[in-house]
Amino acid sequence: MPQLSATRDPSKPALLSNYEHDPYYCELMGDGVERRPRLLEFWQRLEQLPFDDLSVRAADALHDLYERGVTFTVYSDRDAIDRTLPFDVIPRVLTPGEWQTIESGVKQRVAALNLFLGDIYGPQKILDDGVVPRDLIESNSNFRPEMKGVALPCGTYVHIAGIDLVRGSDGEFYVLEDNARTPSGVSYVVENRHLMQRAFPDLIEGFNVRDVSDYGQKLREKLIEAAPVNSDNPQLVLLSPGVFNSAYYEHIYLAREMGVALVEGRDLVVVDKRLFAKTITGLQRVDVVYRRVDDDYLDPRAFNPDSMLGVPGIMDCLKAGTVSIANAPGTGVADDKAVYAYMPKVIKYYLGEEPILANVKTHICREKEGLAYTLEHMEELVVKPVGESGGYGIVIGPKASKKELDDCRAAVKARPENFIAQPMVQLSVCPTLTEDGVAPRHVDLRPFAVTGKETWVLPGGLTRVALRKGSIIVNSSQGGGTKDTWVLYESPGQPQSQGQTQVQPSGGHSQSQSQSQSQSQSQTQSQSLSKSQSRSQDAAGSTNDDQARGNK
Amino acid sequence: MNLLARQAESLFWLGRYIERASSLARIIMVQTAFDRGRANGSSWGWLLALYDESNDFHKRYDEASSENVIRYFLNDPEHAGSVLRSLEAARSNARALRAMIATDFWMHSNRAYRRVKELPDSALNEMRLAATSEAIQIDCYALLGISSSTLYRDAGWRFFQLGLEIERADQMSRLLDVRFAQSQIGEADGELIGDFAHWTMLLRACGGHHAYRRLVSGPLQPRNVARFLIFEKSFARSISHCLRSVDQSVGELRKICRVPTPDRLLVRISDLKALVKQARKDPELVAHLHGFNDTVQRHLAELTQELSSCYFEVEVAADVAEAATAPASEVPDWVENGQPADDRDDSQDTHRVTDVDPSQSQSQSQT
Repeated sequence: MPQLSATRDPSKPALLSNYEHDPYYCELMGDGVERRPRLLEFWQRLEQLPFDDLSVRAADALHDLYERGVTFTVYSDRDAIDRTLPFDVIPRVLTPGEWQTIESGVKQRVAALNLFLGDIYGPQKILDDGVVPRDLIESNSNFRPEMKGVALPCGTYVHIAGIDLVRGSDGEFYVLEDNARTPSGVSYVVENRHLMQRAFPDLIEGFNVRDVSDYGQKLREKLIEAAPVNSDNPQLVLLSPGVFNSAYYEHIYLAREMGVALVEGRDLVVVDKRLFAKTITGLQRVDVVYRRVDDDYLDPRAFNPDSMLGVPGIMDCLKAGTVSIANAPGTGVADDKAVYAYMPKVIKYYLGEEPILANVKTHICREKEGLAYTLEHMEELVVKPVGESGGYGIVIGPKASKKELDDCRAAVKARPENFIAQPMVQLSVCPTLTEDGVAPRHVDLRPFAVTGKETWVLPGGLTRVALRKGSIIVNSSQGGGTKDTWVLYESPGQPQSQGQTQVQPSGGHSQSQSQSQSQSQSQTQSQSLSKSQSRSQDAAGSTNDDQARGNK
Repeated sequence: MNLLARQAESLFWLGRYIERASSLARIIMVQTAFDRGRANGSSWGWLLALYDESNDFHKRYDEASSENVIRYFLNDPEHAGSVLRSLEAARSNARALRAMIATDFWMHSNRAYRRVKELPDSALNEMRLAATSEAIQIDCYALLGISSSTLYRDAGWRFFQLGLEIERADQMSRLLDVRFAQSQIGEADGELIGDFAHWTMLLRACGGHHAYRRLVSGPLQPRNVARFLIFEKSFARSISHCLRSVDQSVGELRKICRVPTPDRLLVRISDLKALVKQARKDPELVAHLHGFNDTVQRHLAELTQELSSCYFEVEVAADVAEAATAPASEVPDWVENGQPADDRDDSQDTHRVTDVDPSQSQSQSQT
């Protein structure tokens, strides 16, 4: 073990002496009874660190990020204000067994999403078979009829996916949301690791943490796999809405890591159903576009005619098969809130498997049993309207007045197909540096998966942490920060059995079991829903590029 | 993939704006020092004449006091020609280029911009002004240093150089016109060239005093100082040197980067060179200096326009698209196990191509 840069003053209390995570699941302590050996080792190392030293170094590290321009940008009248995403120095650690579950679960999920999209924009078997209601798909605002009958290379629609996971008090991971449009935040995963290595070498050294820095090359490889079939020496570009986009740093980062040009809509032009970049030697062919522009702004001829960010005619190129667009237009229908509820069935339908990662139990009110259960248990459920976005119309049972519950019951009865209901999830916590020492704070996890012919999952992910006490709102605009996420290698010579006692081996996870577990949780966290509702503002974790809209 | 037209344009203007900020800061620094030794310090009004900004200035300021003029040129956010706005423009271009410039460059362009943006009023008073403008100068030098140490030497580097050298030539021609500007506002007496102190200041303002003294001893001859600043090929800021660099960059675009250089562009450059060559033969050049400066500045503006139409504005037509072909595989010949790019051997670098159209150049790199 390396020398610690400073040692603790024995007269002061240990860093973690007041740490109390009950009643939540703690990411570092496990269930608090039987700590996993690797986590225990890290825990002990952490306890040796003096708090003051850690705080100072944390502040320095954040300043370092600012200077390096690892920022998101907030615009006022004239000025571009660069802000850093708060970074917490205490990492979230995932054991090899936990990671195996996550990785295989995410791969399964992405495979199902792609098969589902290929079906609903193709033969629509799943709709004919009544597994997913037809009107739920075809009347969905994110369903793009323009994509019907368009064949995509490798059948891949969702090349880049960010599957948001939370961990309940039972220690199980649940999928909270699928992000299949333009998920962001991956640059922070890598930058956080670099920062950890620069500023806290004494924390990370010797832990055998899996590397995250080859994301760019993997992404490039997968996107080239998904190039149009006939393109020779495929040319890849990253299409950004431009410098005014709040996630511009990430676009820069990814373009650099992939070694491709960072273009804007005005750099591209379509002539005769082929896409070109405007270069100093004239037009040059482009085959694959990793776009960070929303569907609506992608092609003013096909979608929003007012968009200045897109490329007129690019949809014609996609249909003609001269260009691949990642992610494909129309993927938004698959990560929709209402469709989310059907994902376990979708997985089973296409893959014949049980979901490895369970959904948060969702009662679908358009179904008879779901409706009955929702009406009966409304005071303990969170009821969400499916068509709405931004959390509008959500009713949180335990917090609602009798009148609100009555109104909600009436609304659900009147139009059951418009609602789903979920129990509240108790987000797990992770020790986090606060002004008063190390305290538990709620976290979630967004692993990133890239898909060409096959899917690769970055071993790590974006751990977002709600820095305010008691809060489970992890987004940056509301006091959220990020943590480095360590996926440990199997340690040579270390028995793995203990590390896996808490997690289901991949593939064998039973849906019904986790459902009953989540239902039995106590219902104290009213904030759990505002988390996803305010997510769209999150610079690090936005599925929609807000600035892309403001900038059109 | 080749350099995007937009990126080339950003690199060009990045070079121009850094040089512009640097030049302004240097003029202010030298004028401050120069002012101090005089019995009754001159006003700063001539700076307005020099940049032809009197009208704009008087829209927002009552009198051309040294305090107002200094603010106007240093950190007036409303004045597009101020050091502040130049650094802001440089930073905007750097932001657009962040995927291709060094992080260090971005970090320092932020620092340079912030330093000027956050200048307290006290930094502008006569006691502190020299130190303030010197610090800005050093920031600009640092940016140029990081650029030349880190920028990838593809076509983009040549566009950066073109911007920098064109701006440098333009600034020199303006500096040479200071005396004329002063006479415009009645501050220079009848003898337009006779002011020894003025020409010393000019030399110092462009860092050429020492170089001049290495070449010419004895009493300072105004006409020779002017000729030094225009013609001395070994002096980095002379107009001749700048034009040589421009010529060289364009040549490298063609020969090394395989970027076509249309005749109309080459003609602009040779016209400029001819103009300077002609002036060199003029024994009365100093008497015609203002006219010469004007012509140089006009030519530089036209050259900029030509670069823009040749490279920054891409023509889009169906027949152009026909000509556009797949880019050749760009594996360098030093890559092991890679396909050696046999069209990239040295003999090709001497192959002169004049005014090739895109289709020809493309097919060439494809062979």
